[in-house]
Amino acid sequence: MPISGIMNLFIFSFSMKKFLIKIGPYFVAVVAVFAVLGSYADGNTDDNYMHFAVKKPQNIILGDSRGSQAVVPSVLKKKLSGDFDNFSLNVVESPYGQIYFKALKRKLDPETKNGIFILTVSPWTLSLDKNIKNSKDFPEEHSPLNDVYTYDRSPNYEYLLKHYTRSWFKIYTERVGAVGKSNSFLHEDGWMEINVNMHKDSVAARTAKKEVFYQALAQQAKLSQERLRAFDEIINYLRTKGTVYLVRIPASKGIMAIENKKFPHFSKLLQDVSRKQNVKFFDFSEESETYMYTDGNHMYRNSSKIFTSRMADSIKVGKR
Amino acid sequence: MLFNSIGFLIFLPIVFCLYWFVFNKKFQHQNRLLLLASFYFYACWDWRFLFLLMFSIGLDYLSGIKIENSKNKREATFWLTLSIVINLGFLGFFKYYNFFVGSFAELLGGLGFKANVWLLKIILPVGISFYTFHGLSYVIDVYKKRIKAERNFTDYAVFVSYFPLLVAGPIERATHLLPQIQKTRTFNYDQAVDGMRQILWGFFKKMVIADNCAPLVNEIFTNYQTESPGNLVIGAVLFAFQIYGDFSGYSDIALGVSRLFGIELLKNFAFPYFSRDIAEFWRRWHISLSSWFRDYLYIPLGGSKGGLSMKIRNTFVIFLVSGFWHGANWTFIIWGGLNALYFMPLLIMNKNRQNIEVAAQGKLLPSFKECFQIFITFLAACFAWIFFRAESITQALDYIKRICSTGIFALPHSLPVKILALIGFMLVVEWVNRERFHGLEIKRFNPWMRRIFYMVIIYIILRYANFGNNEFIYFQF
Repeated sequence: MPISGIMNLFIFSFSMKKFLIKIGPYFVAVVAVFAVLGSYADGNTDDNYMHFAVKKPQNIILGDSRGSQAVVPSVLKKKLSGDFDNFSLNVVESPYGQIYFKALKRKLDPETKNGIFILTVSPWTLSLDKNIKNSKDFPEEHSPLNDVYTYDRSPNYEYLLKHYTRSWFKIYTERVGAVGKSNSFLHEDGWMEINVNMHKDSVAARTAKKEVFYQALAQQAKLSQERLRAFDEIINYLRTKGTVYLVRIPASKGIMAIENKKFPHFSKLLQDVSRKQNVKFFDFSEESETYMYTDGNHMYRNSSKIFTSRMADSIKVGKR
Repeated sequence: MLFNSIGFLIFLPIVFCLYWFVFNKKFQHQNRLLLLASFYFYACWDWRFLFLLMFSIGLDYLSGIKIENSKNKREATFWLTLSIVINLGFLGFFKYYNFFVGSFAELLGGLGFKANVWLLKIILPVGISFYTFHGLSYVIDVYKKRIKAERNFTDYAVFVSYFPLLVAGPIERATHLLPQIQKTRTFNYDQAVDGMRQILWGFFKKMVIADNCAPLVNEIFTNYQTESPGNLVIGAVLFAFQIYGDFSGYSDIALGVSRLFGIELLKNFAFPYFSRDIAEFWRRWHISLSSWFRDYLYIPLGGSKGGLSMKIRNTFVIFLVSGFWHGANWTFIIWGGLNALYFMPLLIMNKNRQNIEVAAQGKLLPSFKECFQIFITFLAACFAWIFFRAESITQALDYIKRICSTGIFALPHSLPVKILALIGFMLVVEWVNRERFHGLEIKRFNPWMRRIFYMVIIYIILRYANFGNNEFIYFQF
């Protein structure tokens, strides 16, 4: 190699080394800060984090936000023995479909043999906006269920890097140890505990808003064959690993009226599915007035415990 | 792949290491790497439109050679026209088909006719406005004999598809970028370090300023009918900083990234909100686009030669076309027209080139006169931004009408103190460095002061940035 080439190589190596040494500490510092802050993630972090940071379960609850708030795994544990995990997110991120199915396979403990699987179903978890034609436009395409591959890491940096959109300092400043449980706290077992003002006027205002939302949704939604197919596949898959139960959770009278007007034969549809699949179906949809709701759609936490207990009793009876 | 995404933070170091450690023996190898990396970068957006990009590259590459090999002017003009028509044809179809068809239907409807129009669900290929103009500037420069036709396909393809500038500019010139692609690049420590500073500043403007303004701006513009006049003013001001932070932040990241590879791109922003008049503003805002229109539209139309009426006509044309370039909506055309109106008095009085040097050059603070001029120019820009941001002309006019009520003298319901403080911080930093290439060019300061300042910027980004992978506004153009 000519002298000029050697000189150039030396200058390059020296310059590059100097550059990497100069910027290296900044990158290390930033990564260290992220690592430390991320280690404080807990149920206050956001509405989904804890679904990706706990041990893989053998007994699981599926559904949307109605399910995530109405079914209390700790009550099921007392009644049915065994740890349960509520893997319900919300109607946008966990409607029944191929994405939820793939996520379920990643979430469930691969050693599961005699699990109990409670699939909470509402018409909204099986329907789709009538204008959507392409599966790439399904709302759950942007769900963390679609692109997070690790479900039992704590802290789960993959989830935080891909889906936590706030400053990571908030993970630290808003942790349970610092501020107590937030108003929407996701327990380790997946139960979403909501703490809101339950004065009847506040409830009425939230319920009115929710009814407007569902009325608008009803204009656009229709039952989706893709979702029904995926629902069948999920049941088939889970049946090989244990016992499946379908549950229709009640909502307030107003919300149920909107649902039943739009989907008058929904309970019959679920009965047909349960018969075809040889699984039990518990329809609580006519028990609206038995429970209290924070906003007409989601059960209030005290009512959730009662509901879960009754559901567990039904499962126990169903087992005999 | 957004610059502010994990994917890019993995992509960039890999390409950097391959570029300087594996393929550094010959610049031709580095060019091939840049081309593959750029195609991969673009394919991450939508692989289907990669073929359109490749077609555009191929078309202009061949057109350049054909123009140079032409036996006579007529033949050369034929190839030039073919390239322009096809390039603008694609741009027109993807970007403006629904606009023209919809506007035509509305016009017919206004005249009492009912038209059944066929609107298509067209996805706009990201970056098409930018790479189309890249290609056009090249064929025009070859035609005008400013540059020889490029015979090396890889070199030409890198010029068009170079990933830092592919999706949102700056709009480069072949005379500036091609020579850099065609020579050996040596790693320059100072260039790379300053590139990193520019990247850091770009991320600050995008993630802290622009992405924090965005939710407030969206809320105010969506609910403008129930907002107070004070809040509407805040909405317009915040949008001015949102679009500045977003676009100049992107440009800073693009330029900084390119400098890591030893390639200098054209400066795209020169602190436009410190402008003392609208002519100066347009010399400092989206410089690569306004200079493109000046060189390829204004000057061919006659430019400043000929009488005042021709100058006025040409100025209006480029501002209206510039507005139209931004999007298929009458609001952008009105925005362009408004800026043309602002420009007119300066043009007529021959004062459009009176503020060439930077405000308060060589001094620490501006004079009262300069402060006033900067404030008025900023207000004028904000007013025009209302049209840029609004969904329709009706909304923009309603927005303005609601600002201009007696309630404007009342304090806004709530002042976004945090974001205003961050904007103030940005303005101070950029004011101090307004005579430099970018806002964080602080090499002249003491090393320890610099290190502390970098840590402050990094802390602010970590503490206050919005990490929601928010897209850059100019991707929609």
